[in-house]
Amino acid sequence: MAEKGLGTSPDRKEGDLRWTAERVAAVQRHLREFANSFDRSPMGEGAISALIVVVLLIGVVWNMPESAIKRLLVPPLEPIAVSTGLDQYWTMYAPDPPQRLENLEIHVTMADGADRVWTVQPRDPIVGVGAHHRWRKLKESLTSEPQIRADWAHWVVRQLTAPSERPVQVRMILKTEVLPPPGVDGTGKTATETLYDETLSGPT
Amino acid sequence: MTGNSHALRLRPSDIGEAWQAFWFRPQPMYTLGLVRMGFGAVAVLWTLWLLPVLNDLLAPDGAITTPPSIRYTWGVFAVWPTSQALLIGWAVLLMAAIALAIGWHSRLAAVLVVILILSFHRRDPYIFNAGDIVMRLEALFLALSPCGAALSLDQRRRAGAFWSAQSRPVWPVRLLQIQMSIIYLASVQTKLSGQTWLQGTAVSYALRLEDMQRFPPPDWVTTNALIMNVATWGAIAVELAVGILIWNQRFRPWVLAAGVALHLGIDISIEVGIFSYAMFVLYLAWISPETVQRLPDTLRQAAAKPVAVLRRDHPPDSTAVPVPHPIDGHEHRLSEPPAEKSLR
Repeated sequence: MAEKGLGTSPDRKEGDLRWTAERVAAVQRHLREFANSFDRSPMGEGAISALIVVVLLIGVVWNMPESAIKRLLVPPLEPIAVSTGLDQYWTMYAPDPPQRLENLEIHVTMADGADRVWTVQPRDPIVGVGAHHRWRKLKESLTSEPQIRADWAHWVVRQLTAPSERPVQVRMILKTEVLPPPGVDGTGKTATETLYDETLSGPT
Repeated sequence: MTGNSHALRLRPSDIGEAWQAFWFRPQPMYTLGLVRMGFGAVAVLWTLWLLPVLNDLLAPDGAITTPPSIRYTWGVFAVWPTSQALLIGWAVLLMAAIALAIGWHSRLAAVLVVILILSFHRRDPYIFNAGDIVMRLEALFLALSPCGAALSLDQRRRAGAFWSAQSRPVWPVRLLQIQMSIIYLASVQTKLSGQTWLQGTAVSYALRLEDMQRFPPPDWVTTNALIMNVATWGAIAVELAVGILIWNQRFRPWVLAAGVALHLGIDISIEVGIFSYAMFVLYLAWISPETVQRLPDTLRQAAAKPVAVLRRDHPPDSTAVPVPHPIDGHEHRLSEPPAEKSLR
């Protein structure tokens, strides 16, 4: 019995390990019980109520029309909303859906004068939908976010040319056709708009 | 008169009790379990859809080389902005989404899903749409909730049965329900500030956008002013009805059916990504816990009927006992099913 009192004996080590494991298990059990009973305790209900108020406030305020209340509430809520991903705007085809067809062409002109064209590829309506809708969304972003045009144009140059080839120009062209309202015969006005034009002097 | 005036007087304690009853009434978490399973399945699809564009649209040498600088945003790929990190993040997201669907370490899985979905969003916000935001919110609400408290491997470990539920405060389900109303009502409000929705022509334009068409309706439909008036104002009416009347138990099945029809119509004709499926996950939050609890028996009975018709000499089991709806204790499971009915 006397040896068990010595800190270096194997039995004592085994006992210490068992004691530690039991303590860890007990702490884990207490934590689990605390987590399970938290939302039923007064403190838990208070904390969750505060969370609910903030979540709902962000959902409502972010979708309010431009107003004094919105201007007042957005600044203090913005850090929470943006960092948690609660920021939200529900504008599906609103206030109006696009009323023109848009076809994007990215032209890469080579040193020998050849013109290579990149467009968003047609896709299978079932299998291809997962990727295609992302390209279409990026195309939609082109008009509202002009800063992304250069990146995209350079990426196309890399896609269409080999390292040994020499591209000299990249142009991003948007061809549009206005859709007539339903019930009106004929085709709408067409137009061509250059969104980006860069003379290339080095690697992209 | 006295009784009426007494009834009309609202005391602060009444508001407190109403708040408590609305958000914290205990309920078997079958509904939350079903939402988690549905969301997990949709999150798997969302993740698989991301793979073909991972290099071209999200990698640092892709079409967008750097994420925009927006205050208070953060993400795994802002800290670790490499193609390798994207691929690892994608694989972890896929695993976490599967774990969430089956309820294996549900809370941890939900936290991983919300962190990674948010990280992908912040990496390239130009390629994500409203459906992706619905996914992000659903993931966050599940990560905040005890989402493994029902219909999960976690619950099976605790209670011995997969199709069983703990009784917990109902607030996570309420948050999902209110979020759904916010989406529809905000959408209606924004639409009514435009011209084409008021003129009854908006749906015609939406259906004729060639780069968004999936299985488009014929031209004689999309260019017919009368049909398009009905479709446009009908869409607004359905959104308004779902946003408001969903809270009335009598109207609920009807507006849910109208909403399902609307979203199926959108998904078939227009390429909107994950939007319709993510909205259907929110619809699951309106199915009562009793209905979810009975679901295995309902499905079993539905499956038994055609079999019984085929085997006329072997009629369906008429001794099947309906499952009671216990809303009293803490653990709920299918009531003593025969051994072959066990879902363990």
